[in-house]
Amino acid sequence: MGQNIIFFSALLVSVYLALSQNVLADSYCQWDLAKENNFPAIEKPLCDLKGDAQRGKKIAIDRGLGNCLACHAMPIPEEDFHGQIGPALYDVAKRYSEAQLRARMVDAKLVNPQSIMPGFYQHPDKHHRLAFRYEGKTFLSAQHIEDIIAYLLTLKGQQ
Amino acid sequence: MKTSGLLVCWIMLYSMQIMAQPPVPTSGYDFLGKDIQAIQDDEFLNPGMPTVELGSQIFQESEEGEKSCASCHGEEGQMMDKAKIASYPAYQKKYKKVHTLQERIHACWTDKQDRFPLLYDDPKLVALETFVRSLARGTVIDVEVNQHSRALYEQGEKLYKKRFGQMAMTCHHCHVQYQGIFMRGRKLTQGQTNGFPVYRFNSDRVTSLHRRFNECFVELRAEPFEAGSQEYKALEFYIGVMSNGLKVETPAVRF
Ligand code: HEC
Repeated sequence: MGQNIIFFSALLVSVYLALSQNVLADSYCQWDLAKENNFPAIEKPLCDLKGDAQRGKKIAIDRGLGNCLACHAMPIPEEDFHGQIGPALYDVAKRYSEAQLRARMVDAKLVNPQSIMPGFYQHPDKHHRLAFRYEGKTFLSAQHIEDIIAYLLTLKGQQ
Repeated sequence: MKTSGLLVCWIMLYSMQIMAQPPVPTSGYDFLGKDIQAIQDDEFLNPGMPTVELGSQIFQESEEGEKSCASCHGEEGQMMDKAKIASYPAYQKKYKKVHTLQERIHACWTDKQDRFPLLYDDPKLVALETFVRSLARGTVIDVEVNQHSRALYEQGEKLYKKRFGQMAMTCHHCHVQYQGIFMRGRKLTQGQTNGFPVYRFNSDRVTSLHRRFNECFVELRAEPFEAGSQEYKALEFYIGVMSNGLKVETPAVRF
């Protein structure tokens, strides 16, 4: 009985370690911050991934992922309750380049150090008192970020 | 042209945030619809009232040879000073530290009544706190910072303005800078503490302030502090001062 418990806990611990290692091993892609017309910019796609605008739109709506609608109005009339914390994003692609949007999406604090907007690809070690279950994880994955950028690049001022 | 415009925009945004002054204190009550306000105002409909009732029972209880709270403070607590109730957290000369109202009640519990100590936010203490605070309903909050309590106040301010969790937001972001603005479906309130302990529709229970802090931390995807921790007491003290001028609403009704 006692042995069983020990064995079982050991199993749990090793499964947990394996899982958490996996998360950490889901390696964080490095990026280089540059300036484009004096504005923070990241030229290269994260991990050289290619974004998909359709997926990006879904991520922007999803309350468990980007939840951009919490703070921004976007040309997504099928969703209610667009937030008013940040500026409307109907025409962001006209105002920012892809590289500038990438810097904003990776960590809005690169653009505005006071920003309330979450650092969606901020390095996990830079968070303070991160809840245990999110340890070692970025808010969104590199693929999510590239998908959202692809979507934002389609927003050229419809409506 | 384009970039200089952006730059100006950015500088404006940036300086707006630095200059932002704290808004006039507004109770969470004013952010509710009329129907919900009516529920809070109605003694029979207010879902926090059973907790007040429970608190008043505990207030009157005593085991053999033991003093009840009521034996000193009056059967219905009528001998307690309402202005004093509305001044917590307050510096206690006798203990040389700031007590939250719950700690003040607990000090009677262990010292005057010689009872076994309870953990912070024990349901009995929350009920007692709800009852005692409710006696001061309508009294204006006046939390004072003095030379002995300034350090705790400043610790509270630091925590209030610190980014927590994966969201990396501060209390100040939502409850000062963007208060009154819609975040998806809900209008951000000032996060005032004048109604605590409050009944929350979202969790269908009476919620102590420290538990409410926990719930915010979870939303920020941050590791909460403990109920009764120095950090939460500092936050309670700092926000208590922000609530000065508002009236006690315990048990308030909130989402
Ligand atoms: C908690 C609120 C919040 C969330 C969530 C949020 N943002 Fe923002 N965002 C802001 C604010 C506020 C600004 C204004 C600039 C600043 O303060 O940093 C902003 C600015 C921006 C800008 C620049 C807009 C401009 O006109 O200058 C873009 C692009 C943007 N956000 C995209 C997004 C996307 C995409 C998401 C979802 C993945 C998102 N934001 C989620 C608050 C938020």
